[in-house]
Amino acid sequence: MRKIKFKKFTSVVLALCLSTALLAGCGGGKDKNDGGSGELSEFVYVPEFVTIDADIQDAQNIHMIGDRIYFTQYKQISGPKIDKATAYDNQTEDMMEKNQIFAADGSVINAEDVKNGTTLCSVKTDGSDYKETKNYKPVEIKDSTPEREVSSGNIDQYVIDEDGNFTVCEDVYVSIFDLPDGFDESQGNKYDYYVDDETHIFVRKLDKTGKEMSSVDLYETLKSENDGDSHIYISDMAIDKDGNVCVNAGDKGVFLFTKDGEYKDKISTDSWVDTIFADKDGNVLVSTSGEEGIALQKVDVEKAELTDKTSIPDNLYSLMAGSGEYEYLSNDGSSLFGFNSGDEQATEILNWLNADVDSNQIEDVKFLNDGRILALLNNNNEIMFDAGMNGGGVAMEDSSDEPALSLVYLTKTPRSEVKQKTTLKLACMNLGSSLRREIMNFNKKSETTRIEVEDYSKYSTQEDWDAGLTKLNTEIISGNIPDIISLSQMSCDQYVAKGILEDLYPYIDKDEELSREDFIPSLLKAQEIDGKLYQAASDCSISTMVASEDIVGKEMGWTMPEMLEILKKYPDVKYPFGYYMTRDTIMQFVFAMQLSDYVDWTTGECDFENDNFKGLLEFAKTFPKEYPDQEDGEYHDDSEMIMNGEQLFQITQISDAWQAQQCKSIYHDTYVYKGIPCSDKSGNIAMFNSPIAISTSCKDKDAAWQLVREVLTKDYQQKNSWSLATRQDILHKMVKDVLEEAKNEGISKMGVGNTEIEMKPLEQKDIDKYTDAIDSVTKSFQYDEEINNIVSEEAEAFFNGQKNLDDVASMIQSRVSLYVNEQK
Amino acid sequence: MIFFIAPFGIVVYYSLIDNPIQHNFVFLKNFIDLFHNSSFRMAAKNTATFSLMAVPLAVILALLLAMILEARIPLKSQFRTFFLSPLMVPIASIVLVWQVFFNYNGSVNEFLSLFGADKIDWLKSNYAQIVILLLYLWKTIGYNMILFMAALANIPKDLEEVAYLEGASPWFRFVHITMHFISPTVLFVTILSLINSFKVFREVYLLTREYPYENLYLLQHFMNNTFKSLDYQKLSAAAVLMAIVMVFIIAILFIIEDKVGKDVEG
Repeated sequence: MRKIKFKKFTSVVLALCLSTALLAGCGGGKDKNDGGSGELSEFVYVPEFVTIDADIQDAQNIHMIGDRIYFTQYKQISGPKIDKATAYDNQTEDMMEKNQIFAADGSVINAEDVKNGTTLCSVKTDGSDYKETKNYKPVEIKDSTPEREVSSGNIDQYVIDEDGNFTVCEDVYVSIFDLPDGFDESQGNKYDYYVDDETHIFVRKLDKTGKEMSSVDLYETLKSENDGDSHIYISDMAIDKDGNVCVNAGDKGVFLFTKDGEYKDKISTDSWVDTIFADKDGNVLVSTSGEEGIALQKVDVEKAELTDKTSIPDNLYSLMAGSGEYEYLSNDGSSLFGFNSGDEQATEILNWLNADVDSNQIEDVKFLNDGRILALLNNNNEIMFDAGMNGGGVAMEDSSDEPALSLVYLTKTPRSEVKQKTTLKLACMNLGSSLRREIMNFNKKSETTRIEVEDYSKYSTQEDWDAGLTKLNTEIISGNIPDIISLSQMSCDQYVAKGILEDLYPYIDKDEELSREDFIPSLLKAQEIDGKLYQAASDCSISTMVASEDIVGKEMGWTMPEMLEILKKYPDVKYPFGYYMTRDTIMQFVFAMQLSDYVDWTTGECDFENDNFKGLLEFAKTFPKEYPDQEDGEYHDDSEMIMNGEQLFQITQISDAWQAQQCKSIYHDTYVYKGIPCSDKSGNIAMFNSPIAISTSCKDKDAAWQLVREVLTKDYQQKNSWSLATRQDILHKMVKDVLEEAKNEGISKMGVGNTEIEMKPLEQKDIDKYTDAIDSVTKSFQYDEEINNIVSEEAEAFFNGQKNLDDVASMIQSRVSLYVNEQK
Repeated sequence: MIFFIAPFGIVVYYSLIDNPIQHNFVFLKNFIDLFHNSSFRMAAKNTATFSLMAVPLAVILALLLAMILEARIPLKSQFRTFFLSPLMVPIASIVLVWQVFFNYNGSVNEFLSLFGADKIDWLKSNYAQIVILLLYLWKTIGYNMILFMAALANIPKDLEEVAYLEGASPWFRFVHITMHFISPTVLFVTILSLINSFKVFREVYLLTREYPYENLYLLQHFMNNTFKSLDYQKLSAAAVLMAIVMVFIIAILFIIEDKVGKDVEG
């Protein structure tokens, strides 16, 4: 009796254990840390920003050592004092011709008298005690002659030892000319006689004040070590606990220097050295990447070799010295990871965006003893420098009011202790910088809602690039649906078919600021599915084919047979689509762009056995699998080939109106946006950039709309000047600006390949062509990888001559039909 | 209940709703859609055709081999090992061997070209099912044969001897004694072969990926692909239908076995 009871008890326990395992698949956990659409982490990182209130206009090579921040600044080092804000204001044409600018006192001076250079600086983390290394002077090579033009020294990298001494790597370039006797620089261009150049890498030991203690020119060493090649790129440096300095030269290996700055040896590596850094114990480590993945090795300076090789996960590209509980840190651009030797996977410590930090600005990260994370931010990434030759000219200042450097302290806090807001999950596969900024602004502004980003690309591996997307899709079908989805790399149609996405038209109609009329009708229509709008896109580009009217006629649109007919008329044109056009590329453009010609998704019917498709395969077969070897080593520019009559058509993307000016000049006014050949002749196809959507299960759709609507606003879209905005007012303004500028500027010149052409000012008729092309858009690009794979695989048999055209078309018809019908 | 009925219940539930977000009850709509789906119909037809060809062959050939080996032929144990060896070969190796044989530039075409035959893309032609059938039989027959050999060894010898002495023909002895006694094994082998015929998807998938030539497109392709495209409803409806068909077939087999071999077990 007791035995029977025991058996019953055991079976009940086993059943419960297994049923728990079954339920695990149902998802819905709330306190897990490993992400997942419906899940929120238990802890959040609360940021506290500290501005470094020092007059720092530019900061590069930034390191945090102790309580000081070290950096280099490119700034004026000699000549009359310049105020960068006013140096170019009211500059006359005569001044421009003479390369003159205004000094700070208002006087006119030669720009060449103003010398800029790199200085070594430091400041305390609270912004006080700004110091420049007063005795620092850039390295010089004094044998500058007309035949040997020497650039000024520029600091690539540096390290600091515990006494505050610097070891810097500076490069100097020497351009060598073979000038004819009696050559006068004022009469001719000496660069026509350029023959070679030399790269001199100086490794200099400097004291605290910047005074040189020793200097080694690696030129001869590099030449002897690298079979006469002196060109190297120094990507970073590290210093070990004994003061030895290791210099990372990428594929050229690691150069070793003693603590006195003397060259010691070189370590050659089979693979590229990604990063070099000193660990917590003062050992220098390198991470290398090769066929076997990423490996970490210790630098043995005495023996000049790499030892203790250990493999590390593939996603840890940019390793840093660890601190806190981690031996190593890695910042992949969206998250901070920690990693210890022996771990199989890195641990995601935090997502920068979810901590309100722009990861693009991060220069250095440290764990503090109190458990907080300190990140050093550099706002100078967008600063532009107009240095001019030999350091002449004026450093251009960033228009941003933000300080160049700031710090952020991140405190790990239980989610329950921070101000409670509705948290919406945004799922993405890599997040664009514009949307990232918008989310940060949204989170700062909103009192009630917070957007947290889950970037599924982190789950992708080198073996499976789709692993992240598969994880997201699996979570979606198990009911863990994100609130907002950035649809980049995802199929909008598939999600719509599953009822996952919300129609955005009712939100636009309700919005006080937005209306449907704000948007370019053709682009709005191209995004619709069954009359509903499921995505919001700020901008797009239009894929098209441009050709001369004299060759293809004035009308937009053509079919494949029409294109083939035209090609027959020009049998002598060897590269009708350009030198670099291959089978895969032409199939990508002509087939993938026009999938709707062959597949009817509504009825599930496919038509690959028609003459149009067979014609396409025959046409693609005429292209090489790979483009021909360039014996002359020259780049064959499409535009130049068109002007020379060596190319007939140009596959391109329509974005801003300025592109029309180039077409106008290349085709001598007779160009037409013909489009990709297709049966309905509507071959101008819109490709929308990073559209976002709200899910039907979003917990606060109105709050989600507050973010999504931002990408449709004028403010947001006018920032993306490089692509075609979806708003009408932005398009109208761009067109107006272009016409105005064209009127003011007149004819300018532009280099096309090896030829210089006159850029003719745009006229209204050009703008009309441009807007007609935009208005002609009826469809958006929907890439279907499965169909593309089937077609490529089967077409290969035809291209290789293994099968005839009919068999291949029939096989494609059969396989694609299966796929398409499955989707019905 | 927990391990079979509950998961199956979830699948049935999914087959009756519109999608995993709204959970609207749509009754038989998913099943109706499924019957209208030409890919499903083709997958069902191909699976049925393959099973109808493969299962009888796997049973008959295995029984034949078992009887031959039971007939005290020389090298009996070597033959037995030979026929069992496919069971020990990993799937990846089997697929590789079949690729080497039946590739467009493979051994079979090379051999046939010696006789002036044109090359055939075996796995993308109407012969594709035959290629897979060969693979299936090669892999299945050995195991079935062992089961039959065990069953044949258990037939009472005295009954056969009495029938022989009374002048019964070999065919009569086979039908009324051998088949009578091995009918439970025949049922078991048939069910096993049927299940294995569904599992041949694994090899087909490795040879031809998600979208093979149309006569190799099986029900498991359909279900696997619909899972990838997030169509849980279609997948669940197909799974429920397949389960019903399987239950029906197995029930028929049990009824037949019950009639043929009733007194063997009794």
